[in-house]
Amino acid sequence: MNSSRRFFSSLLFALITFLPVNTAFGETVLSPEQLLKELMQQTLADGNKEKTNNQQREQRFLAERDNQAAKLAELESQLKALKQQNQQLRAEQENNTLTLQQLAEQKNTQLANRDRFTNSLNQEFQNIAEQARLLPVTALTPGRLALFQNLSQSPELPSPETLKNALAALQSLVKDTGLAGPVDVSVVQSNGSEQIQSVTFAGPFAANNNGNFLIYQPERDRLLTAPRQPNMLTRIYAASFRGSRGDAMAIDPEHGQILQRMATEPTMFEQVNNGGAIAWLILIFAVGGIIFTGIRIRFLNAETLRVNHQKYNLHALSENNALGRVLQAWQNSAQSGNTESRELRLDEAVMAEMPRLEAGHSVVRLMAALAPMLGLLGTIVGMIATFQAMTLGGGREQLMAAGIAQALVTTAAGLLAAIPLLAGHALITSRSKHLMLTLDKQAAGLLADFQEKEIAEQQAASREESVTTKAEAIL
Amino acid sequence: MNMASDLLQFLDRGGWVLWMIFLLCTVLLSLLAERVWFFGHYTQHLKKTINRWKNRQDRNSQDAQMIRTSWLAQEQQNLQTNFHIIRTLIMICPLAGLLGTVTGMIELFSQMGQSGLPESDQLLAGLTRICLPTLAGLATAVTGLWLFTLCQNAAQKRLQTLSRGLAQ
Repeated sequence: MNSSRRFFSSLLFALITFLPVNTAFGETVLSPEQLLKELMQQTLADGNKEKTNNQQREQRFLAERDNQAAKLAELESQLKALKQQNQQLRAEQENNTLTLQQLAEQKNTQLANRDRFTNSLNQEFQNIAEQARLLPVTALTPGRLALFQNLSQSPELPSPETLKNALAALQSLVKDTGLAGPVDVSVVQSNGSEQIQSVTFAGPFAANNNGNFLIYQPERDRLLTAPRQPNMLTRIYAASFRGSRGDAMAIDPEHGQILQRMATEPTMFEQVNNGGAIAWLILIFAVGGIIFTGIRIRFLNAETLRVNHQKYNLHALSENNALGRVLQAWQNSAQSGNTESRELRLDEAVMAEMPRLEAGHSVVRLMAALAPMLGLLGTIVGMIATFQAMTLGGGREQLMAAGIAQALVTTAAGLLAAIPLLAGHALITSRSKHLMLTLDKQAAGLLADFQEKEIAEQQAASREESVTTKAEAIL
Repeated sequence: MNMASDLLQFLDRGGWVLWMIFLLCTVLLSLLAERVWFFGHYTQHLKKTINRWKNRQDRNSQDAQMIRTSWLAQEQQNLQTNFHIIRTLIMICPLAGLLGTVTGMIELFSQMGQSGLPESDQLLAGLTRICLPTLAGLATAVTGLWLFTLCQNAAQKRLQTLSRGLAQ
């Protein structure tokens, strides 16, 4: 309203100002009333026109405002819907996060479960592999041990097929441990080649090929003849084992460990070497004594043969044997001296033969007596060393046991040496005693017997002769 | 058959020394059996020798005495054949038994050295095994000694009979 009043007042001001001009310069000169009237009319028309215009504009503006309002409302509703959607989505997101967390947890537990499972699987197969390493029956189907070992080491979860295979292998292994009897299987020979041989199994405890005990070699996955075998009788029994009733076979309750331990046991040479100088001395005694005894036995046998030959050929006394020499001395003494001196000569001759026949016997006897004593000495020395070492350094009873075992070796060696030496001594002494008895007691008698027979023969011959001469004379 | 397998098991339990003792025992008993058989058949020979002596005209001269000594010595040799070996075998038997015990002890001790003191029943089983050879050796020696003494007496008796029979 204010604006319209200002508008009118300004309009009035303009009219007053320009009125003289208009009147001065107008073509048509109108009266002032008329002009005013006309101006009024025009102003009114203009005002109307302006009014309609304004109204139109206002209407237009209004319409536009309504339009905008509607748009606004629409947008607001849209916003509302979007907000709702946002809320929904946010809820959904929260939900999803939760689910995600749950799933992650689930995943973690599942992973842990899997790891635990893999670990226990590894552990289990390690146990199986360790046992299978010792069983001779593992060699029946090669590759089983490798399968178990792979499974015991693989960090990944094995595939179901692998597991199935392992299970089948395990089942077959368990089945094989029930085996008692011969099966053809490849065996590593001493030269390293392999050969199919018939091997007798006694369950999980022993495998035997023709008396040779076999051990399983895990590196080659094959059976191999044990380097040291048990004693002969065990091997003979094992060779005849066929798994039928009544058959006996030695088994290794520690699944081949006994056989493997046997290989590490010291050999005869090592044991003697452990016994030290005394053991070697005893060994020298034994070997030397046996060789010497052998030589003596040969000599005495030859001498006995010669003496026996002389016994039946008394007409020709030979120098090459004891009896011949003794009898020659006896015969030579016949011309000179009385009975007593003759007997003395005979005894002398016999005594002269003694050193030849009994040479070295006392040495053998001495060796036979010394060997066990030396052995005992060695044992005592070894025991002293053991106990001294124990008092100085301390030690367990195992060490002591091992030391005593080593110390006892010399005693065993001494006894072992004494037995053949004693036997040898008995052999040579019995032969020489026999010969000495022949010389001492029989020599003179034999010759007397022989001469008696000769004389009897001569007498018979001379009697025959005299008979024939008499007969001749008669004739 | 059962006894044979029992014997085999016994020998196997004692180890190789027991086998040696078994061999010694076999040799000893067969030698003694041979002696017993010889003494059983000796009487005839004894009578023959005495008759031969009785049939001689000259039984007093120095030569005759020599011949008598010679005959007696011959018969002593015959009667005492293998006596020395038998005596030595009897001496060896306990030694061999001792040897078995010592080897058993070595085995037991080296086992103990490897795996410690065994369980008491295992230890007792081991000790039993150890004692077996000594037992076998002593049993063989005692049996052998008894039979050998009988043989010695028999030989002595026959020699005395002969010595009396070959009187002047």
